[in-house]
Amino acid sequence: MGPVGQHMRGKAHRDLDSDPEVSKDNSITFTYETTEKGVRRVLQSARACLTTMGLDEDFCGTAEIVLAEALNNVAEHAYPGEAHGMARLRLRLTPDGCDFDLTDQGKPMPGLILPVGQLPPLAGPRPELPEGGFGWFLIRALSDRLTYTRKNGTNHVHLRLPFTHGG
Amino acid sequence: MDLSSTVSGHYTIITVNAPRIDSAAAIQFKDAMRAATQNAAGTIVLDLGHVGFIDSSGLGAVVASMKQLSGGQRLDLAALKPDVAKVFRLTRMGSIFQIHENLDALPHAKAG
Repeated sequence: MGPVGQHMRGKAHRDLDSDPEVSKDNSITFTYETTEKGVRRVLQSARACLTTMGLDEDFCGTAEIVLAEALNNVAEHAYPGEAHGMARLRLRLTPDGCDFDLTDQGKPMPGLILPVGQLPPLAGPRPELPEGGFGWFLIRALSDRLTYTRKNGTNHVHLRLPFTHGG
Repeated sequence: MDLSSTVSGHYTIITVNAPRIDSAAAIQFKDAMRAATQNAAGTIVLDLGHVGFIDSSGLGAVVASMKQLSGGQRLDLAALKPDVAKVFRLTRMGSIFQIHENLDALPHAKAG
């Protein structure tokens, strides 16, 4: 599997989230702005990248779902309200799956842990049905490795999607 | 968010003319649905045939669209594309929405 996209050195003239950076270990790094539109653009770029790598639509769809939830969470919790910043998404293929590393310099996760992500109850009358709480459930349902670390002011979420997922 | 509404027999079919119902589009979707469903009669069917991707915010907006209906109205879903179907399946939305394979698969409603 060769490098994907244009190989670029240095960051000085790189467009935000449009040109991914390919490293020597064949990982690809996207830098993006943590706005809703910035997240949407980087998701589309990352998916296009996975498709170019020859991964099937089912896997690419799963990856986009998981990344959407993780990146939106970064956007909402690390940079609440009107605040936003630059964050990074790094992806790397391994023989059994795809590793994703999300880093940002925003606020730490509350309690320095990731939410449990249980599916909210769907029973009960219509006015009580849940409109949220699905994000971490989806991430945990589709990934087989998920860690969070906070170090030197940086949030780092590592997650891995296996090639044989249960979705 | 561009929605179009078609009355077909017993059904009001609301087609989403957008490729994504994501975090950036969820609030607009919910507002557009409120307007589109306000005076809709019969069973409302949300046609997702053009929607390739939905995230949990979009999913929440679909649930919210159902919750903002009046008591006598109901909302079904139709024509889910693979990634959208995956999100609905994993979150077990089949327990609160009736999901139709496509618009041709809508059960024929009895006249009157």
